[in-house]
This record gives sequence, structure tokens and C-alpha cells, in this order.
Amino acid sequence: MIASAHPVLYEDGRSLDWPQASYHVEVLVTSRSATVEQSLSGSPVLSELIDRGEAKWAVELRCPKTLYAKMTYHDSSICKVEWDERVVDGDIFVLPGLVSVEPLTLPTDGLNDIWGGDPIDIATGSWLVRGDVRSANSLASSLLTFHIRKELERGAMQVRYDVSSGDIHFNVYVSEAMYETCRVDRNVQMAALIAALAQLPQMARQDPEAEEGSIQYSSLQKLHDLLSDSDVPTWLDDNFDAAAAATAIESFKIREVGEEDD
Amino acid sequence: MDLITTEVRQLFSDWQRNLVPGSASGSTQEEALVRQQELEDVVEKGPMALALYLRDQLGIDRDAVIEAPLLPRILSPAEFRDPPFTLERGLYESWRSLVQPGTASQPLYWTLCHVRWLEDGQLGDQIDVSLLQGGRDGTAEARTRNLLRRLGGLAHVRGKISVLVNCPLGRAWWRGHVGSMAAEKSSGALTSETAHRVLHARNAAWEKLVGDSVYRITVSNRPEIRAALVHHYREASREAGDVNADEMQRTARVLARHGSSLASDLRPWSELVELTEAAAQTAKQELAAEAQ
Repeated sequence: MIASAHPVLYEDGRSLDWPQASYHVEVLVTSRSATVEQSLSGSPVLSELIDRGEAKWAVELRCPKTLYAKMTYHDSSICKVEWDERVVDGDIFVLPGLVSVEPLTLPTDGLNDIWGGDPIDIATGSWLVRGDVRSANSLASSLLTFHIRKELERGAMQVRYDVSSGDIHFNVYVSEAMYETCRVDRNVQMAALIAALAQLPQMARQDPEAEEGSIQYSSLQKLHDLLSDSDVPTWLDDNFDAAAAATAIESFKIREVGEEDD
Repeated sequence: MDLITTEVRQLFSDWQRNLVPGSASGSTQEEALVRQQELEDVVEKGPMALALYLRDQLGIDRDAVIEAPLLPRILSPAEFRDPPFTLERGLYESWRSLVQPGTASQPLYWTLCHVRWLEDGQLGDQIDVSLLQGGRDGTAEARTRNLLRRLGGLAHVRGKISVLVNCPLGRAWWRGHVGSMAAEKSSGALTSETAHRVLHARNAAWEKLVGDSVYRITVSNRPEIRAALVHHYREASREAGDVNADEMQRTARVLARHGSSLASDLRPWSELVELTEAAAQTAKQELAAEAQ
């Protein structure tokens, strides 16, 4: 028996189950807690499940590096989830959503017609709403760290990858004069990201211990999943384009006439 | 462990990368070869010389006490490289409350523990056999990689799975820990020891199981799903005599494909067992189809 399918509302809108509904999440992650604020609109059926206590807001925590996973359930749409720092190492991922906490019968009001007109039986422990996975850092910012390299000429940049932590990271070296600019100039950050991603095909070819086609690092797995989901070629494809990949995860900011810098 | 500071982490990383440069950074191959040969010379001189060398490389004062969990006795090279179940279980039992996952995931932690064990003489005198030899050991670099992996793991080459699979004594703790977590979520179907025994199977089952877990954000990382997997393969291995590692990994992946809409902690154990059995059948069919 494989779990039977049931309607799910996804934050990214990839499911057509609830055409009128939408779900938004704000997550603030610190080193030992995550504050999660979830909101749902356009589905009175799901809202009533929450009001009746048949479904609860849920937050799943995962730390792949220490094989840690934990579920928490909440009556309130705003919650703070904490973890013991001794049981995690590296990135903590937060997966928010809404879960049935008792067997329930879901009316089909508001559901896509493909579900028919009969109410749907849903078992305890079914995700009804799912948010995207969050980590403490955005993917782009977790990939790059800027450093000063004094010997570089004014305006110069170098990018080197580093896997000593067990995950991949790119050190971006810039001249002293340029360092402060990096913090605020998105174009410089984008240039670094493109340069960093351009190293991935060569890195994948050179890794002597990687199985062919395997991905050794969780950040790269996230990046690969994101690019694949966006139909953008990855570094494992022949037609990989570092600029296309970089702008798929962080787009250039196009300034309108008269708009000020951030 | 108080000795794990940012500075020591950096020295550890530099030391490993200077010995095994990888493709990104560190020393040249020629410089690395000189360092590899120097390391082999140190190993030849015995455990105290190696411990001293490691302290120097990591910037640990010679009189600083390294608080490592103790080994019960001197381990032979064979026991060290692949602890038999009884020994591995004993190590986990005596270390379980002393080591936390957030520390045990760090190659530096286990390397420091080995410094202490070398100083205490608990790795015996044949440390060249324990640390350098075996597997691929035909070149100075291969032997150096063996040593770095066995001391704590080679994260810059193998990623973060290295500490879980390449460091025999770290792996002992991790297999015991994961077995213990699985037992807790198995509704009494598993004991910590029986789960640990399944994970100790003498093939790649452990590596395949945790490989996906550390690299992916997957539902098979949920403790009750892992418990159901371990339970299933405990039953299967009773019939087959061993755990089929490829099948176990594929089953976890099938569960990941089909189980993402489950909040598995709220599902009854019997249902998770049933779900895993179905996933295992699918896994067998997929593997058979691929083999044709």
C-alpha cells in the first residue's frame, strides 16, 4: 500500500487542487529557533478544519548533517520552534504547513473539479498545505562569502570554491577598495554568483571520489533541485549556462528611471 | 569539547587540504607529496610521535587535556578498522551520553579523540596497519587519505558523509545513535541493539542509508520512517542472511517519493510498516527492471 493521494495546497502554487486558495509563510531562523508565521486565504474549507481543531499548523525541522528531524504542531498560525543546539550542526531546514491531526472528511467546495463532488476521507497525519523548505540563509547568500585580498588590483575579483566544511562554499576575493561595495551592490554579488556557478562543471569532473552524476553537497543538491524545477540546465547538463543558473536563483535588479539604490 | 575553536577548525582544514589538496585549493601535488611522506615517517615512529605531530598541526598545546570518551581496551588494527558488533555496541553504550550529534558530525572532534587514544596507547603500536594500510593503499596519497578518513573523515573530498562512514569509531557511535533513534520510534518492534545490528551489516547498507539522508532533505530522515525501514530490513535479512544495501537505499527513495504528504509521526506504526513493505516491493521491481 502506497499512501493514497489527497488534495494539497502548495505555497509555490504548483498544485492545481485549490484554484482559489493561497498560502504564505514568513520564517525567521536564528541559530536555535525559528519563528514561523503562516497564513491561508481563499479556502473556507481548510480554515474551518483549523477552527474545529481537525487540522493544525505544523513545522518540521530537519538537519541533514546530524540526521535530525522533528515535527511540532500548533493551534496558532504564529509560532516559535526551538531546538537543542547540541543536536544540530550546519544548516537547519524548516518545512511549514498544515496537517490533519484526526481522521476527517474533506468537503470538495473550492477544490478543482478533478476531485469530483464526493467528500474525501483523509487520514490522520496528512499534509494538507505545504510551504517551501527554508534554511537560515538564502541559497545565494549561503554560497558566497566576500573577503578582502589586498594584493588584488582595484576593482579585481577572484572566486575559489571551498568544501572543507563538508558543504560547498565560494570565497569571493575582492580588492580592499571594492569590499564595501560588495555589501550593497547587487550587480557585484550577481557577478560573483555567476563566476561561482561557472566553476561547477569543472568541479564535478575533477572530483575523484564522486559517483558519476552524484551530488556530494547539500547546497548543490538544493541548487540542482531548484534549477531542475525551473527547467534551467544544471552543471551536469551539456548546455549549462552559469548566467542563466545564477539569474534563476537571484535575478538582477533592474532599476527604473528615477529609482534610488537600496 | 572546548578545544574546538574557530582557529583549530581552520588549522585542521588547512592541514587536511595541504595533505590532500583536492581540486580547489591547498598545496600543489609536489608539496603535498612531501607532507604525505613526512606524515608516513611520523606514523612509523609510533603513536606518541603521531599524537605530538597532530597536536602541533592543530595548534593544541602539548599539555592541554583532550576530553575524549574512553576506549575499553587496546584495539587491534582489525578491530579498529572494522569493529565487530559486540565491540561497536559496547563503544556506543559507553559513549552514548558523552557525545552529542552536533559534535559527532565534526571530523575534527573525532580526530582530537584519536589524539587522546594514541596518547593513551589504546590504538596499540601497529598504527601504520590501523591507519595507513588496507583498501587502496598503493600510493602515499592513498595511505594519507586512509589515515585522514579513519581519524575523523575527509570532508573536503567526500563531503559530510565522510565522518559517518569513513571513521570507524565515529561510525560506531553514529550507527548506535541512529539505531537508538529508530528503536524509540518503532512501537517496541525494535530494541536499540537489534536496530544497531541491522545498521552494522557488513556491506554498504549503512553508507547507502545515510548517504541520501545527509545530502538530501528527504522524508527518510524522519525517525519513524527510518525505524520502519530498519525494521523491514531486519526481517528481510533474517531470510536472506544479510541486508541488501541497494534495495534498502531504493526503498528509502521510493518512500521519499510517495511519503512526502505524510506526517509520519501521526501515523500508526502498523501503517508505516505496511507502507515500507510496499515501497520495498516497488524498489525490487525497479531494480530488477533496471538490471534487464
